[in-house]
Amino acid sequence: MLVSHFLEQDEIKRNGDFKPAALLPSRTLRTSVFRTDDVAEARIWEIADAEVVAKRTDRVISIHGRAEMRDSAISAAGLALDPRIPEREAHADIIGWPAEVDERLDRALAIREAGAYLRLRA
Amino acid sequence: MTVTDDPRSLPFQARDSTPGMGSEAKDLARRFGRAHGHSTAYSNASRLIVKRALAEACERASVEGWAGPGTSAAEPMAILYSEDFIDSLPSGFPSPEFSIAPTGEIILEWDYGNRRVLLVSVDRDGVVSYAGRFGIEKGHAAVPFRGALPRPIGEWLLRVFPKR
Repeated sequence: MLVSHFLEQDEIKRNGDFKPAALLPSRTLRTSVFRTDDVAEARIWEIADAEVVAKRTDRVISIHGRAEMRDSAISAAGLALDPRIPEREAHADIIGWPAEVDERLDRALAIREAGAYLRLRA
Repeated sequence: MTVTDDPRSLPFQARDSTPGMGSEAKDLARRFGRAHGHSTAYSNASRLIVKRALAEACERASVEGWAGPGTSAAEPMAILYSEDFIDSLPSGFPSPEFSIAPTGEIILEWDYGNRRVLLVSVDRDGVVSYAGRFGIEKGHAAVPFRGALPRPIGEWLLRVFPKR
């Protein structure tokens, strides 16, 4: 399964990669991603606008890219994918994050090493 | 994690006037300066620029839910500890890139590609957590921050900086 985590401009680095910290989990120890298998490129960005941009109430944001990865990269980092969140179409969560922050940093680096790639929005 | 005694060639030089600089950071800075042979001043102005970048990152994360449900605003005490951490870096240290973790910690990142990367997290209790990659080596741990650069982090910074 192919999933994407959408990125704002300041989560994209000057060297053309994304910041691994963008993958770190929320207080519930989940990282929000979207299933993008067999989804057309234009549709992926529509999902970003509908599911991320439009639902943000604290400020106006824009999505400039996405960190794209296979579930195998997630499992290689010792994490797992909760593939279907019933109330949110195409949504999934990266789960299994450890409680200790240093271990979370290590897992975020591990996902990127195992194969997570920046896709910039055209 | 192993700690190397091999100094890298880096443009660092010990400056006793460096704010908040502890003995271990001074020792590292001396090693950097000895290895490289010239100085690059990490001036107060440079620190202000770095802290401005930190402030800009924190501004984006100033309210609960800034990165979606279940995300915490940047912790004020973590910001203060991060400023102290910046002050503890020896002269000439390249600036990190900043992020805010969805759980409120401040993240500093030095990434030189080819598995030369160090992530440092500073939390509201002054605990500094880190994870690094240097070639086939990797390591992670958490250490208390007491105003001086923790030696394990200094050693990781030595490793990941490219030789000049």
